[in-house]
Order: sequence, then C-alpha cells, then structure tokens
Amino acid sequence: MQFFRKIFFYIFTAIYVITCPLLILYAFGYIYNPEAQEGYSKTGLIYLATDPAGATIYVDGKLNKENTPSIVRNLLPGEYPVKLELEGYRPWVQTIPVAIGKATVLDQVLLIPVKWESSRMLPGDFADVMPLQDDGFFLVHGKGALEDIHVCDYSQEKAWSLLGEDSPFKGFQFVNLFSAEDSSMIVVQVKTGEDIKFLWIQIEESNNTVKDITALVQDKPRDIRWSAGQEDALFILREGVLKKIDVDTGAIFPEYVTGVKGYGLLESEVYVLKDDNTIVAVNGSGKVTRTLLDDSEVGLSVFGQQETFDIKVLSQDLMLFLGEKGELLANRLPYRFVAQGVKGVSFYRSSNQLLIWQKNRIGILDFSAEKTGDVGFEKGPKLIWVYSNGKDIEQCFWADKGSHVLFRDGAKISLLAIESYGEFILDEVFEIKHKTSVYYSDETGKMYFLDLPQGMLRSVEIVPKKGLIETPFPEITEDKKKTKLEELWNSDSLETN
Amino acid sequence: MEFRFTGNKLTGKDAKLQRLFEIAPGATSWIIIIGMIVLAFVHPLTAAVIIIAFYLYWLLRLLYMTLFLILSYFRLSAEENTNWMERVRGLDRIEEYLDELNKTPLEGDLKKRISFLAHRKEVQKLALAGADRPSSNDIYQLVIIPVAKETKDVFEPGIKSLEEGTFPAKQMVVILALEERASDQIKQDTEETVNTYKDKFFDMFIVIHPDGIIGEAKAKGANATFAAKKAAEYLKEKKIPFETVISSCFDSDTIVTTQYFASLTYYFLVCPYRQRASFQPVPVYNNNIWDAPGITRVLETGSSFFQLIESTNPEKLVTFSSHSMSFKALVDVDYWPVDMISDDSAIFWKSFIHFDGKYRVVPMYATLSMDAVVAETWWQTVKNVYKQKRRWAWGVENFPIVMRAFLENRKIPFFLKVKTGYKLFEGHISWTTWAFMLTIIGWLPAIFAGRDYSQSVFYYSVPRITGTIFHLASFSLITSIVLSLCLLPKNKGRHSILKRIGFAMQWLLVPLTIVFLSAVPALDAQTRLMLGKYMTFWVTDKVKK
Repeated sequence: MQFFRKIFFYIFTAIYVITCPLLILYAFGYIYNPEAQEGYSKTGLIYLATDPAGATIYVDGKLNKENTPSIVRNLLPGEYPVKLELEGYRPWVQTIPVAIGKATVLDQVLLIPVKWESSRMLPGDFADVMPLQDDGFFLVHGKGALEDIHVCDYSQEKAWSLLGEDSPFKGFQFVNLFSAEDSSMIVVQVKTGEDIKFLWIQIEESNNTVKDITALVQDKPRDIRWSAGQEDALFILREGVLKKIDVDTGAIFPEYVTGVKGYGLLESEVYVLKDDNTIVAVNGSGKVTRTLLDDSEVGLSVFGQQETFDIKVLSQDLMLFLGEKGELLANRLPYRFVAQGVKGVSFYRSSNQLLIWQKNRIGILDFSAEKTGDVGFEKGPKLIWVYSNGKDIEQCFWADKGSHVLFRDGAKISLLAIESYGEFILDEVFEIKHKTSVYYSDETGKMYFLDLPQGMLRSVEIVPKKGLIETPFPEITEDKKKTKLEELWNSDSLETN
Repeated sequence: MEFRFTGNKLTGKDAKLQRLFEIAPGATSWIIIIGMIVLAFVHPLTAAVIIIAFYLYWLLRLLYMTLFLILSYFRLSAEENTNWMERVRGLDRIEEYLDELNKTPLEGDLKKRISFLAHRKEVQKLALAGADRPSSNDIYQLVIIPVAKETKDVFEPGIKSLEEGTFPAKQMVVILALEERASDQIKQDTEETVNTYKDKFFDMFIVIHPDGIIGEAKAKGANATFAAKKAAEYLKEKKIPFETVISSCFDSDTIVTTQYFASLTYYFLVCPYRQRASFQPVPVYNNNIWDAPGITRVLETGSSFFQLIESTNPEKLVTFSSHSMSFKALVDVDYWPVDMISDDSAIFWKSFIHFDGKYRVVPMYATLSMDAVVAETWWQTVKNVYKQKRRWAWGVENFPIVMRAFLENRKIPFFLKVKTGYKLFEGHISWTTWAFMLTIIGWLPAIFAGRDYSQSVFYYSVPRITGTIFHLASFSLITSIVLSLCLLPKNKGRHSILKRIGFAMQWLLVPLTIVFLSAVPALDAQTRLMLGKYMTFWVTDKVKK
C-alpha cells in the first residue's frame, strides 16, 4: 500500500504542478493559438443574459453552444456582431466590443415580444390611471364620482373601491389628488356643487380610513405634502408661508416657516429655501437645526430673485430644485443642469441616477461618482440626453433594474435600452387610450394602462419575472459596467442644456 | 533520548521556545484566514488566483485520499471474516505453518485472496527474519479502562466484549482505572463489574487514581499512567515479562469485536520491531450510531475515514483514540504524559522522541467501536460535539513539545524531523483553514469585486473552474456516502431503508459541520494555545438511549 501511495503521490503532484499554471492562464483568458506568433493569444469574453432567458446566441454569425445566460469565451480582441433570437421575441442585434482579458457584460438584455400580450385587470371602462408615488398601489377612476375610483394593489392583483359602502362622501366629484413617495396615504380634493372638501385617506387592504380635513386645510392649496412615516404632519405652501397641519390632533401651525421660496421633506426634517436665498433644515417643532447655504449672494446667483422652487431631498446631501419654468438645479456643480422645460424626474437609488424628461427628450444625470476635470477642477455630475425625438413625453419610469426607460410620449408607449455598447435601442410597445396615464412597477415588471378604444384597465408584462435563471455571478452594479452611457459620461465633451 | 515530554514548568530558553511554538499554529491559521479576507477585499484578483490554486490542490488531495480510502476500506473488509486466532496459533509453529500456506491453493473471492496473500507474505518475512518471538501462549493483554463519570451501562458492554473474544480471556489482565473523585455510584458499579467478571480473566481489578497528585493535570493520561504503574508492579510480582505484554488503553465505551485481540496479537507477533510500535485499529462509532443525530454521524464517520486513509501510510501514522502498544515500550518511555489532555497522540510523540525517531504505528485492519456523542437534547449534543472536537484539536499541544525535542535531538535524521514536523504543523493548519477557504473565503473575491476585476475574463472564469472542481469533488462525497453505509453495523433489521437514506442524506450537512463543528473548534483550541489559555480535560457526555 505504501508503494502505491508513493507512486500516486508523485502522479498527483505532477498533475498539480502541470495543471495549476495552465488552469490559471486559462482563467486569465490565454488560449493556445497556433496562428499567433507566440503560439498563444490572450482573449476576452462576452457575458450575455436575457429577460426572458433561453435565447439562442450567434456571435460573428456562429451559433453558440449554450443559450442565454451564457458566456462566449475565447474571443480575440475586436468587434463582434451579436444576435440573440428567441421564439416570440424580436431578434436583438448589436455589435459588441471585446478587449484583451476583459469581459463585455450585457446582463440585462430585455427581449421585446413580437406581440405584447396584455390581460384585463378589472371589469368596466375607466377614464384614467392615477399613479401614486407609493410603490404598491395606483388608482383608476371612472366617470368622475369619488365612488368610481378604485385602488389597485398590483402586487396582490386586487382592487377595491376608494370609498366604503356607507361612505358619506359618495356622490362627490373628484378634483385633485396629492400623494407622497413611499406613503400609502393620499389626500383627495373633491367637490359637490360649490362645496369643496379635502379627504385624508389611509389606503389599507379593502378598508381605507377616510378623514375629512377640510377645516384644517382651510383654503385651496396647489400642493399638499408630507413625508413617508409622518402622515399626520401635512405641509401647505401659500404666498411664501409654510403651514403645518397635525391631522391627528387637529392643530394648525399657520406660520410654521415664513419667507419661503420652496421646501422639501426628508423624514421629519423640512428643507427650506428662504426668500433671502439661504437654505435651512427645520425640525418637527419648527426650529432651524442646520444651515445648508448661508451665502445669500451665491444663493441669488443660483436661484434668482423671484422664482419659487419645489425641493426634492434625495438624501441628506443631495437636493434637487425644480423651478416653475421647469429649471432643474442641484446642490452639485455646476448647480444648474437644465434651464427650462423639465416635466418630471425619477431617482433610481441603487445607481444614484436621475431620470429627467422634457417634452421632447429624456436625459440621465449620474450622481454616482464625483467626476473631476483634467486640471483638477470639479466637473460635477454630467447630464446625458439619451433620447431626443419625443413629441409630448409625459411619463418616464426606470425599468428592469435601471437598464431601461419606459416612457409615454402622448399615447405611445416606448422602451429605451440604455445599457448598451452601441446606440441606445428604442422599441415601441403600443398605443394606449389617448390622454390617459400609465403606471409601471419594476417589482412586478408590469405596466398598467387603459386600452384603446374602450379604456379597459389592462396589464402587460414588460420585464418577465418568471423563468429568470439565476446566474452564478453576484449582481453587477451599474458602476461596474462600461456601457455606451458610461462612455459618454467619461467623455470630455460638455453639453449645453 | 531522555526528554521531559511536557510544556509545563519550563524555564529559560525552553520556556521561550515552548511559547514561540505554542503561538505558531494559531498565529499561522489566523494570518491565513484574515490575510485572505483582507486580500480578497484589497486585491480580489490575487485572492482569486490563490483560491483557484488552493481549490485544485484540495481537489487532488481529496481524490488522492478517496482513492486510499477505497483501498483501505477494501483491505479492511478483506479481513472481515479472517480467523485471526488460527493465524496466531499458526505462528507458534511457523516452519510447518508456512509450508501449509505455500501448499494452500489460492481460492475464493478477491478479498479472500488478498487477505491470504498478505498473510502469507507476512509469515514468509517473519520466518526469514527468524528472530525470537514469544509464543502466543505467553502473550498477555493488559487492558486499562479509565473511568471518571461513566456509568456501568457505558463501560460494562466493553468488558463483556473482552471476555467474548476468541483470544483467551485467561491471558488478559483488565484494570478499571477509577478516579478517586468518581461518585459513589460509579465506584459501586466498578466493584460490581469486577466481581462479575474477575474470574473470567487472568485477573481484573480496580486501581483508584488519587486526586491532586502534584504535577498531574485532571487528564485521562494521568489516570491511565497511575494504573499502568500499578500494573507494572503486578506483572513483576507475577513474573510476567513486560516484552510479552500488549497494553491497550481504551476509552470506557470501547467495544471490541470477537477477533480484535486475536488480530492485535497477530499484528504484534508479525511486527519485527514490536517493542518499538503502537498498534492502531480503525475506530468506528457504531455503539449508538442509530441514535446519534446527523451532525454527529457525519463527523464521527469522517474520523473513521481519516483513520482508514492514514492507515495506508504507516510512515506518517499517529496514534488516535483507543489503541495498543508494547507494555515494555510504555514503561521505557515512562508511560503517558500526566499533564496533557491529548494523551492518545502524545504517547506516540513521546515514544517517537524517546526512541530517536525509531518508533512507528502499525495499522491494524480491524475495527473497535465506541459511542458517538449523544446528549439528552440535540442542542446539547451539538455543544458536546463542539467540545469533543476542540479537545481532539487540542492535540496541537504536542507541536511545541515535539519541536523543542527536535531541536534538542541530534539522533533523529534532519529530513525526518522536517517531514514529521511539517506533517504535524500542516495537519493542524489545514484543519482550521481549509473549511473557511472552501465555504466562505472562496466567495469573497466575487463579492468584493471592483470594476477592474468584475470586468475581467478571470472573474467570469472562476465560477466555471470552481464549479468543475466541486463537481469532481462530489465523487469523493458519493464515495463517502457509500462507504459510510457499508461501515454501519450489520443491524438487527429494525432500521428501515428510509433511515439508511437519511444516513446518506446527512452528508449534505458537510459544509456546515466542517466549519462549525470542525474548523471553529480547532481554531478555538489553537487560539487558546496561542494566548496561553490552556484547556483542562473535559469528559465527553455520552448518553445511552
């Protein structure tokens, strides 16, 4: 036995000594290549994953052994035409660069179906979809009466009437809706004849709590705001005075902060842009806790004399200022990012990127990393316009974990792939009922809309959630990819807005 | 070489060297573990290269061990039906017996043929050597069974098994080495047992080990040594030469097969250097295996496998758990260390140094069975297993003493010192680090990957390579499952096929058990030694269900 043991010991040692370096060289991408001068070449690879999985891969016209998700290995550096085919989906074609020792990663290729299949969600026809900022519900309303409004819980695929059977507000007409991010509470402005009311509604499964807060609101505000988790504290800005209402106790603080040009909320703090162009943070009892900008002259040069701003506090150190004319400013150099015409923004927290849309174009502003200029001057985040051929863009949503933008241009729904090594790829989805909104949830991967021509509430799966194959790699975050968008961000060209 | 085999009460250079070598294993393990975590964070690519190289090394070593596990198991099963006593009696008339063997045609299945060929070769060698050897009638078996907290139902089955063996019980001296601090009930149990079995053996008696002897630790070795010294006096009085006595120090739950002492006598007689050797059977934990939880079974079967694999390499074999040795050698080396916990391996190292490296362990293709750790509750069992493994891993206490001895000893060849020292050191380091490398650290480069690494070909190659390695390693796992089922006691038919399937499935617990009930207790033991927080003996609670 000992003799065998020695023999095998030497055999296994020899195997290790030979195999280990070869294995490591292979892992680095080295392959035997008799055509190369050295007899070997260092290669790159392409990693491809699609939603849904299982697409056939053609690289340089050659069929890959495996379907997606798959790694195409041993590619000499260069550009490779890649085609992905899956029955029932449009072919996906792009030219992908491959560099020595590098992996070109396309891990979220969303395949577009040849025909979109939608399913009806509720019986009856509706007038419009009303998206909420809460990630869980949206509303649909019918003819305009409050009892015709339904709450749709899209994750559970349930719907119920906004008002209970015995609600005293039946017959009231819907006027306006106020909602806040991550909050399942809404405020609805309604009327019957000349009588206007404000209803505070806590959406709960099948049983919403409704409170009449008309006496607290007192006037007809343009906006009512609150923070998620602080649903009892409502804020109303009117003619430079910020009023606070405590729904729970019925207390009103009519001059909570005065001299206000704009404000934003983050948890229990109120961030206020004062009329002297300073910015302060105010706590729950109205006391200034921090001064964020105390130089009025700098403030004046940034915010101007007269204009008012809506402040979006994205985090403790990142604030956006949306002006009346659609200007977009941020507390990052160069402060003023868009001069006018911004219709909406949507922040994707995982990648620290802001989606911005105007009437005819869509842009992405990346706050993920500080980018410094060549001579050491801070350059600040850069705005890249990823689509400029719109006509009447009204709504935009991040889709498929930030790899796509789903937008509504008039009645047309389109999907823009921004994780791309070539040009950004635009796919038209379909048209919806004119002058109605849509709602998209990345949690379900579905878009909820009213169809043509009847206005039935339907859902369509934009990002398949079933049949996704888990890859053996940890999820690649945006900052680890070098896509077309990344190239543009890193380029020196400055874009005027 | 005369060497005080202890780490206690040292002064001057010895104390410093002892401390240095105490720190070395723990420090090395921690440096490897923390170093790899830091490297995975700071430079994931380098960490991934090291991990690939390690995985390949692990795979080859695993396959190599699996190969010898299979061969060793085959060899063990080849001797399953051997009539060892017949062979022992044959050795008493060796010339005639060899003639008979030479004339016997090679027949039967492969196992029988292998057993026969190995036996004939051993007899031929013995006949050629022509050295003096005692007659089997002159051989005495001295069996020392230390008892501290064990109750009668734990130690009595073992004593009964001694009596029932094919080796004549009348050539056996059995000593119950009883701790003075044992409870009255246990003392009464031992007395009753002695009264029941005394007449069956040459002799059987109790030796009470007094508490608090200066220089002793509360360790099994101290108790066994005290009993062995009394045995020496007894044998002298009975005029039985030490050279003809084979001493066995058994855990109290040890149950031997009917052929065990016959096979031990055979291995002793055919061993040309029988006074410079220990005899190591394969321990199995079958006494209560049907009652033990999955985690215990996996670990205990793993220990049996390790011993089986090691048995194929006698040059590097070290004694473990219940084993036997020449009583003369035991007396010559001044018995077991009295201040060490790991007495079963320490006695080998003590003998190895005493006889200047001319001491070895002879593997026996015979099993003896002990209790797997089972406590009243599952959680208590886990805790007990942890403590037991930590005690086993405390065998690392031998390392500083052996290293000091190697530095002093000029007679042991340098290469042998390096080879032996490396094996001892590497064994303990791999015990603590491999499981972490395989189950946790291996994933870290991918988790900590920054842009450069996550966009590299290497990043995408690692899962494919590691996947292939783990697939190949599953051959070893399947082999372990099959052999573990083969090693199960041939039961009385009350355990269903479902239970056996459950036994196979328990191997899926390996990733958990190797980390939390093997690597962590080993790291615990090494860290204690590194910090000078020495362990005291802890008797494993084993409950009979």
